[in-house]
Amino acid sequence: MSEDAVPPAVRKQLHKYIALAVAFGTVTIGIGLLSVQARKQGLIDPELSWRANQVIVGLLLAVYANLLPKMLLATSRFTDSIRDAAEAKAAVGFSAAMSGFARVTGWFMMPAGLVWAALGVFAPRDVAVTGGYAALGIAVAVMIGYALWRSVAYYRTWGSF
Amino acid sequence: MNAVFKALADPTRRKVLELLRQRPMTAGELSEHFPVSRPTMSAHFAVLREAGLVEASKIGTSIIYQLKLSVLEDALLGFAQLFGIDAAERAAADATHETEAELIPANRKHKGPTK
Repeated sequence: MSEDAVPPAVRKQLHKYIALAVAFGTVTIGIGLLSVQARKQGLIDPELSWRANQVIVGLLLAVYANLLPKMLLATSRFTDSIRDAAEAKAAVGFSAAMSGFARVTGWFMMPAGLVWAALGVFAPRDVAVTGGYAALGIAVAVMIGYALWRSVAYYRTWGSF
Repeated sequence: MNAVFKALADPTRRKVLELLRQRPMTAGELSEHFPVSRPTMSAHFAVLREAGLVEASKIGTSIIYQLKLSVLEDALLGFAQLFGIDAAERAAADATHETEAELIPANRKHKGPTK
């Protein structure tokens, strides 16, 4: 689909959320590089550097997951391309599925990010690593399972995506 | 954030958000659930749109509203519904107690021998 086919309001939203994702990535990499430099110069010890990174990554994940349900376009099918009532119903159904997916993902990923950050602060290193990955793994499993379930349900109702 | 609190403070708007949790709905379908005029409902929809809690799309001649809550806003809505319901029940219970308290002395005045 060419860029001209994307409605302006949707394009604006897309640009906004792409910018947000780039900003998050930049902050994560920037803080990582800063902590490496600080460690090399002896300003902080390796343990503190590792824990600081854990907290930053966990909090960024929590913040991004919190915003995930809002990063949903008005309808996942662009309204300008809808030709008839049947397509409109399918578009609404698709949006409902996407909305549910984003909500479930946000609700599981946000606590996973907070658990990751909290364990990075309070827990011994091995517990923090295991616990953090376990929380994240559960959130990803739920996300994939829910996406598959909604996809199958949508396909059974509408026959195609 | 002020806009979000303002939007969630009204029980009608909270009910709209609860309805949209089930599925996206047209403005007409949402309005059927409330005994208020269409202009009043349009004003509520406008407050929700300004707060960024719903997304409106025009499909044909219909406007479809869809929920657009972050996780924290979703949790705030849950708290507002919980405390809003509790507050309403308490207010109703207080009003009932006051009415009974007023009635009982009045009833006792009328009791007594009628000879």
